[in-house]
Amino acid sequence: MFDQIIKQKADSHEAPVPPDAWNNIIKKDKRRRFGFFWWTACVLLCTLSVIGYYKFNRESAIGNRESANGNRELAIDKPGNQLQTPTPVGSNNETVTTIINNEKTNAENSSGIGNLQSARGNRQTPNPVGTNYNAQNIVTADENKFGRRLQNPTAVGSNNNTVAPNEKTDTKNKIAVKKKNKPGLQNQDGNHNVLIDQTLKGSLTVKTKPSSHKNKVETDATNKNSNQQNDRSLAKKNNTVKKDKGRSFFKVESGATSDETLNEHIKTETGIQDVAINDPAKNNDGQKITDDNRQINTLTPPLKNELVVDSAQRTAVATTPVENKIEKNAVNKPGTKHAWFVDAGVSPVLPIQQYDKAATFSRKQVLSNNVTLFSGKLTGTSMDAAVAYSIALRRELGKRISVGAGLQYLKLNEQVTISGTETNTKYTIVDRLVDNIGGPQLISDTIATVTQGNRKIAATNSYTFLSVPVFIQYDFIKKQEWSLGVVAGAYINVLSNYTNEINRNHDAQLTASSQSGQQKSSIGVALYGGFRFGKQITKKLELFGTPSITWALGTQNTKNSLLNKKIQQAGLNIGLSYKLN
Amino acid sequence: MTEQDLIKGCIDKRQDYQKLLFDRYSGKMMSVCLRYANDEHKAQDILQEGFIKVFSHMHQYRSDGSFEGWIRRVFVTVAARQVSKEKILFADVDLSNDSYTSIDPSVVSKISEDEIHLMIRSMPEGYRTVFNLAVIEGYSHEEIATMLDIQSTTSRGQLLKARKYLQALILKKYNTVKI
Repeated sequence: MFDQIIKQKADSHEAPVPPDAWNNIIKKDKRRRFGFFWWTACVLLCTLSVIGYYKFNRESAIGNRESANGNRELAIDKPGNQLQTPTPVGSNNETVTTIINNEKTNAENSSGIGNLQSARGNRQTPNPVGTNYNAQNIVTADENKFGRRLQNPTAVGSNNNTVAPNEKTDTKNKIAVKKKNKPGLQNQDGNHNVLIDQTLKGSLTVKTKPSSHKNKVETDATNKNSNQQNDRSLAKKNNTVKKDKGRSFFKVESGATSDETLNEHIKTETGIQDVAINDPAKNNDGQKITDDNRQINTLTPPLKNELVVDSAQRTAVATTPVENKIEKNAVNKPGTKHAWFVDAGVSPVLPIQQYDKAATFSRKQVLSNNVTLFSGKLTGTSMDAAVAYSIALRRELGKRISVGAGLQYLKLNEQVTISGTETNTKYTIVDRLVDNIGGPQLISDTIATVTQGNRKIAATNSYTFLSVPVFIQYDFIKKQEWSLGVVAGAYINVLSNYTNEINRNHDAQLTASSQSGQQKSSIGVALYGGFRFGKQITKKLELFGTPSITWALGTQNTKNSLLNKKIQQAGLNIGLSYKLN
Repeated sequence: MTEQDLIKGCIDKRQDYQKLLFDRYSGKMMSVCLRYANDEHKAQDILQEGFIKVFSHMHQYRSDGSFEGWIRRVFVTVAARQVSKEKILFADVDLSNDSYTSIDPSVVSKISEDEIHLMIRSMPEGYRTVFNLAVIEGYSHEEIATMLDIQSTTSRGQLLKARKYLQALILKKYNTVKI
C-alpha cells in the first residue's frame, strides 16, 4: 500500500523543465547525426586508404619495372656499349653496367648488333650459347680472315696487353682471356698469353689469361664446373636458349638443371628470369621434378637479377566492446535488436617464418656476348616487424557472444641474403694485326674474358596481403567499464601482391629492381586466437587490445617466389570499437 | 491532436510534432530524471539523451501498450545507465531509530507529490536507485541486478533499507502532525 501511494505520487509528479532544454535536444541530435556521419566517413576513408595503398603498391612495382626498362633502352643507345674491353677492371658497378647493356642489346635485338655488323662487314656477333657459340665463332673467324688491313692495330686484349693494377696469382678467382684465331693465323709475336689479375672490391678477383690461337672458346679450369653446367643446360635445350636469349635463368637446385625445369621455363614465361626450386635430395641428372621439388617460374623485368624468397602473412584482429547491459535493455524493450559494432584496429605484428627446405640457387644469364652463371645459397633471412590495419563489422548474437567479419591489410618485409660464386664469361671481338702473305692484315678475333668472384646479394621481399578476418568473440568478464574475453577466427586471404627489391650496396652488383606476382595459392587460410581486453571510453566507443597468435594452416604459395613457407605471427591488435545502434 | 498523430509525426521526423511531444511529456520525464540523477545538470543531460532516444526509436513503439509508459521506460533505461556509469555506493545509513517499521498509509496519501519527490531525491544514492527501479518502475530484483551489475540480494537489501529510510523521513517530518 505504501509503495503504491508512493508510486502514484511519483508518477504523477512533474518537474519544471529548463527553458533551453528543447534547443539543447535539437542541437545534440544534430551533433549526434553529424558524429555518425564523420565516423562513417572515417571508416570509408580508412577502407579506401587501405585499398588505395595496396593498389598503389602494385602500380608502383609495375612502374619500377617499366622505369628499369626505359633506363636500359637509354643505355643501349650509348656508343661503345656493344663491345667492352675484356678487362673488367674497376668497380663492380662497371661490370654490372656492361652486363645490363649487353643484355639489353641481345634481349631487344636492337641496333647494337646491327651496327656492329655493318661496321665490321660480315663479322658476326658471338653467340654465347655454349657449344653452339663456339662453333659459330669458328665460322666467324674463318669469315674474317679476309678482314681489312689495320692502320693502327690496337686490339683490345691482344698480346702483351696487360691491364693489371693489382697483379697477383690467384688460383681460385681469376679471369681468363683467350684469343682464338683460325689455325694457321698467328699473332705477330706468337705469344698471346696475357695475365690480368685484379682484385676487386670484396672477394672478387679478376684474372685475364689469353690462350693460344685456336678457333674455339674455352673457359679456365677454375670455371669448368660452371661452364659445364651452362653447356649442359644450353646444349640440351637449344630452343630454350633461343627463346631466352638475352635473358637470365635463376634456379634453385640441388646440382643440375632438369629438362622439365627448362621446358617449364619455356612454356611458362616470356619474362627474363626463370626460377626453379629443386629438392636438394634429388640427383643432378635431370630427373623429373616432383611437387615437392616445386618449380616456380619468375616473371621479372628484363635484365633484372632477383632472388626471391616466399613469405606469407597473418595478423590477428580482435574486436568486441563491452556490452552495456542497461543500454541493451533499453534497446530490447522498445524492440529487440542486436547491436552492431565497427571495430578498427592497428596491429603490430612479429612474423615468424618456417622454411620447408634448404635452398641453393643457380642462375644463368645469357647475353649477346656475355654469359653469367651464379651459384649460391640462401645464407640468411629475417622478417621485419610489420603493422596490419584492419576494420571489421561485428554483431552481437547474445549477451556475451558476437561474430564479425572485415578486412585486413598487411605488408611484410623479408630481408634475404644470398651469397655464392658468380662466373662471368664475356666475349669480345677485336681486330688484330697479323702477318700474312702480302703483308700485315687486320683480322677479327674473339677474346673470352672469364671473371669469377664471390657475390653477396641482399634483397628485400615484400608481401602485401588483403585478408578477410572472420571471427567469434566471447566475453567471459563483462563490466560496465571494462571487459575481458577471447576471440578466435580465421583469416581468409583474398588478394596478395609480391615485390622484390635488391638493395643497392657494394655487395649487390645487380641493379635495384622490383617485380610483382600474384599469389597462386588457392587456400590462404590462417587460424588465430587471442584474448581481448576492452575499456569503455564513452557510451558508444570502446578501446580494445587483443594479443593474439596467428597460425598458418598451410604453406603460403606465392607465385614468383623461390621458396614457400609458413609464416606464423604474434601480434597485438589495438583499436577502437564503435557501437552503431 | 491524437496520440497516434503525434507518434506518426515524430516517426516522420517532423520537428513540430517532436516539440509537441516534448511539451507534453517533458515535465514528467524531468521528474524521472531528477529522481535518478539528483543533480540538475545530470538530469538535464538524461532528459536530452532520453528524448533523442525516444525520437530515434519511435518507430519501435508498438501500440499495444501505454505510450507514456514506453517513453518512461526509455527514460528510466537511459537514466539507470547514466547513473550506473558512476560508482553507486550501496551503503547502509543508520537513522538511529528502528521504530519506523510501519506507517499509516493515510499519512502518506496526504503528502504532496513534490514532497514525496523531494524525499525520494534526498535518499542515499544506492537506496534511491533501487527504490526507483523496484517500487516506482516495477522492475524485479533480478532485472535490477542485471541493470546495475550487482547481486539481486544486494538489490533486495537496498530496497528494504530504502523503504525504511523513506518511512523514517516521512515520520520524522509528520510524526508531530495529528492526522
